[in-house]
Amino acid sequence: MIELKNVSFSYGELQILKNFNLAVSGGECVQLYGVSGSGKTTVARIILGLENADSGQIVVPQKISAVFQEDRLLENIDVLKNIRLPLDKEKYNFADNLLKEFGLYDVRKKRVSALSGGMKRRVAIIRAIAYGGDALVLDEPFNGLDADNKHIAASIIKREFIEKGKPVLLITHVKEDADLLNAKTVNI
Amino acid sequence: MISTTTQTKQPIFKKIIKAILIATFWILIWEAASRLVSRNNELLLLILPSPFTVFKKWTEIAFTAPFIKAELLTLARVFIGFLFGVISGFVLGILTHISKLVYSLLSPILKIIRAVPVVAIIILMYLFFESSTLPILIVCLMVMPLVWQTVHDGLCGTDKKLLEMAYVYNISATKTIFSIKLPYLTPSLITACVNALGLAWKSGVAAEVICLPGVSLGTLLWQGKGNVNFDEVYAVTLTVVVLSIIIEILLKFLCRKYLARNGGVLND
Repeated sequence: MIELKNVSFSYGELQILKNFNLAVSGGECVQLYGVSGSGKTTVARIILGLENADSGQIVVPQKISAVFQEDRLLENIDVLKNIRLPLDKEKYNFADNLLKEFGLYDVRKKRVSALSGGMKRRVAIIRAIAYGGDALVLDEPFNGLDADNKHIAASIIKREFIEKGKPVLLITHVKEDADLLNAKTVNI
Repeated sequence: MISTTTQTKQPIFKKIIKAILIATFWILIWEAASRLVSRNNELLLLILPSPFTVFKKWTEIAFTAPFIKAELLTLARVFIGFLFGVISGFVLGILTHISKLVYSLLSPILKIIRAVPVVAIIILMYLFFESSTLPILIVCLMVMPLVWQTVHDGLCGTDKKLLEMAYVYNISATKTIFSIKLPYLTPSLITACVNALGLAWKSGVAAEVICLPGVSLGTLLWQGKGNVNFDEVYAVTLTVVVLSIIIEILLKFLCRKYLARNGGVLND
């Protein structure tokens, strides 16, 4: 369960969130929708513990996985090392299987800097899924992916999170991306 | 930072021809200056001998056993000092990055070492250390702050977004340092080491000239000056320059190989 009650947040004088409420239950995907600068990414950052709210109540699981707006990969090491970086050894096989499902197993030894934008995006998604956790935050996760890869990513996210009763928060402007995850839309 | 820009490669023979032409130009300037200075007073030729005289002197002494021994011992002192400087600078850079208290305590020392002239440090340290070990210490003291500052700044300047990723994924502090921060800083550290090597040679030989540690290139420089053998002084200086260039080229070559394997480019 992800729950934000009456959360307010400001950057200096600029108020970004005022008494904002959000609830994402286990097994549910919620799309946070709003215009640019409305504070969608700030909500994600607060949930991930990267920002402290000025006031309000925040209830989040201890271990949350995330796909950031940018890939946030280590460009000069290979795909496999990037994915394994936050993982315990027991999850290595799972990560290998995900690489196969995403069609990236053959490039696992390639340096990330040598990959295309779409491939990097898939690596970032694989890392988030392999890490697991009790909830998932996705900030524009399907940027740069073609339709086939969006379907693959969405079906694996559903299988590994939503169907296992974990909450998923999706931040995107793209309605089709939200539909792929059967997301309920919340405006900000 | 690792730079991945594409560089236009010059053919190697073009580079060599360019280097030879530049060297020839400066040798001709040297020859002209030598002739000009000695035109009115031949004694001045002692102070500024011609390139040919220096080269002749160099061929006379370069392959003698005492000279080779002096070269090797100076090389060893510079190398050991450089190594200790890099290691201690690296460790201090990590420590001052991890602890603000350690940074507050040690940063004045860093500033003092950087501000005090090398000669003053050599003379002061001469009171406490043997003449044979002092050049090692001086080289270490010259190299260490450069590496220390590079490591500290590099670690503090790591991409914030990657650090946030590490935080979200619960990556341990040790793993963050060794897997994210240190690889990020490697290219700038290598550039700092290459620059520090030049400084190591200069300060090492300067320390040898002042404290005369028996067999060394610095001692030969001092003796050359004392015996008014300026062609010998120039020949020894030439050796120091050539050795410094060879080692710098070697170090750059190894670094380029390493960075090419790890996805970076050495900033010249």
